[in-house]
Amino acid sequence: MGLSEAPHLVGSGVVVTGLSVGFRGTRRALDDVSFAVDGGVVGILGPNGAGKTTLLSVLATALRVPAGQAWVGGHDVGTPSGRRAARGLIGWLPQRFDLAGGMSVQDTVAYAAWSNGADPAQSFVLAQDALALVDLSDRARERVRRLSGGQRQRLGLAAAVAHRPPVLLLDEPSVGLDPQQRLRFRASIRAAASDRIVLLSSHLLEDVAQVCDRVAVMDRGRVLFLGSTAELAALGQSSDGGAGSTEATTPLEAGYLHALEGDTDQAPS
Amino acid sequence: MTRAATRPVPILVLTAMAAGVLALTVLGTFSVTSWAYADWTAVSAVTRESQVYTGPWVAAWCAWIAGRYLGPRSMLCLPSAARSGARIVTAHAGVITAGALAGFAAGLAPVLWSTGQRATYGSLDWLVLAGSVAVLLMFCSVGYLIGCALPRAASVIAAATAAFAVILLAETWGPVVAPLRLSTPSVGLYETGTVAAFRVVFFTALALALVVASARIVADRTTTRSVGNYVGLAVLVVPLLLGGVARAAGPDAVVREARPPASCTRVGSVPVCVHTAKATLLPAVATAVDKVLTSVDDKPAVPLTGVSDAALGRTTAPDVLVMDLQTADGNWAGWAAADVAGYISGQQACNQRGDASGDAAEAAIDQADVSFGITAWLTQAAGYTAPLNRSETADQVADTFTRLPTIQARQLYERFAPQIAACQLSSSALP
Repeated sequence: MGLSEAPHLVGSGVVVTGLSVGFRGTRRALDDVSFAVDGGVVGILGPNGAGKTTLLSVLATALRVPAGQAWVGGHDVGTPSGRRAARGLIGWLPQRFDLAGGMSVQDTVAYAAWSNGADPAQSFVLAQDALALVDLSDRARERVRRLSGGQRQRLGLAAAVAHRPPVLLLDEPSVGLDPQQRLRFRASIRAAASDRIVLLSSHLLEDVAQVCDRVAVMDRGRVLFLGSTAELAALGQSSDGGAGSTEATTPLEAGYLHALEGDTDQAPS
Repeated sequence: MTRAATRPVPILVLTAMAAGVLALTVLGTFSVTSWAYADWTAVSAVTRESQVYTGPWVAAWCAWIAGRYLGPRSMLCLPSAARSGARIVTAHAGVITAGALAGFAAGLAPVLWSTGQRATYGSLDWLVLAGSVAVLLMFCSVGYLIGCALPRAASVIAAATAAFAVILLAETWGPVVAPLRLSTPSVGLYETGTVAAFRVVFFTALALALVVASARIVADRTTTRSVGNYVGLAVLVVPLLLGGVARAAGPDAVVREARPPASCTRVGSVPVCVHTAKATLLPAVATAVDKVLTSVDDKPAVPLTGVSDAALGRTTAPDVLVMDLQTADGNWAGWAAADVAGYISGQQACNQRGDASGDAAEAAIDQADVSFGITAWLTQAAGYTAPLNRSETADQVADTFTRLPTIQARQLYERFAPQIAACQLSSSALP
């Protein structure tokens, strides 16, 4: 199980081949991206503007596929019917999301479960489970507006997982959280990832190191590295030091910086 | 955890919207219940006209609902949601329609019940009512679409404003495709079945097209704005073309009854007739005619061979007073008496005068004031009050007649009868 360059797993998981997305007037947000994920937690690392959000938005069916192909659970999200079919399989936590401040925490999650396809009668139970997963059961009856930033982020995660999707897309989920909140949030993600594919974008190496089995390093719309976190760390240890590598404090960080410099033979063609 | 949590729209939100519809419908229709008689034509029409209030209300609520649940980054229904698109829009539309119709039906109950109890003629025009329902749903759909297209708090204001704009432009659209009209037809007139049926079809089609467009917009939601997100609006072309053709054809939306039924009585030799719908008013109308004629000892300066309700249509018969009963006013009998008094004070002759200038104009104004003064005196002498808008000269003339003993006042009136009938009595000629 894990991450590979070869898109041979169309029948399950997440598969992307030659995906390119261009925004008018700027360079391409995604440039010929290909990879396949058939299980586990995959971190998508990269600096701001690397294309992480665009990639997850395409997989979440919130952006069209202008060139290339993308499958989620065997459904081509480049076609309307494929998008419709894939939507039941996806749980998405966008980088920025809105919540209705006047709604209760439990109603928010139950509503999200229902809108994501859950049976109305089951939505309550699903919401309770999701809130337990993110350790918010004790705040279930609170109004959303009374939650802290970290609690809102965990609520977002609960809303994304409540319908028990096999594919979970998390876009910079720990941005803006303080260290303690991040610890709790990572625990929530680990719990949510136990039985599904998770793609987690981040520019925080700590998050990836703590949560992910596999990692993809992106920059300027291209995937520069695909492999396990251990392989990325090994890449850092084996490198003889580039301009950034000398400033790295951990092997993973060194590997990441090394990958960004493009000095790796693990980048897809 | 409550089951209400996963209803498409929480019951509290629906209840608030429906309660507002109820209250505003009562507000918009209640005045008809205070009319001196029960008029099914007017009641049918106000089911539509009352939406001058309910239209913006439901539009604003529907925009709020759409914006709350369907913003492109709302965790409640992200673009990635399985129910995103037609499924959630139809779920919303179903409960919104149910809530709005429940409020509307409850709001109409008082006026329908009251009219049912009092009416002596006609019945509710179901096609007009169906058209009103279609208009209400159209307002809901307009607000919902705006909420989907502009999922921000401002969409609420935009939706209410759009609804008001549609209402304010009612006269511009023309009577066939205008959501509502600014004047309410009453008995004697009726809304043609063809136009009423067309309106049901047109506004239902428009509401459905707006819902389809909303579904397309929601289904096509992306995290980036683009023209492609709004291609669903193209579906609106169909009903708009339909409306354009109908507007160009310009059929009469409201026509007069061909043979309106009359209820009549006699005051001396003068027949007094009203539309059968106003039969309950006939004794009071006859009494007003009798008392005014008695004030001049049954010797009116202007021949009076009949009094006829305007709802019966204009008449070519000579010397017949066609009376537009002010039944929406509690003092309608006073106004009826003033109408009779005005008729026998020569006001028709005053009204028929052509334009004049210089001294002739001053004389004409003075003579019209005299006619008004005599009208006021006669109305008062008959035992009625009517707040006529009188000039100083008219007040002086009324005082002159009022101060005189009844016999002398009648003699004065009789003496100047030819001049009064021709509207040629000057104030200087009076004592």
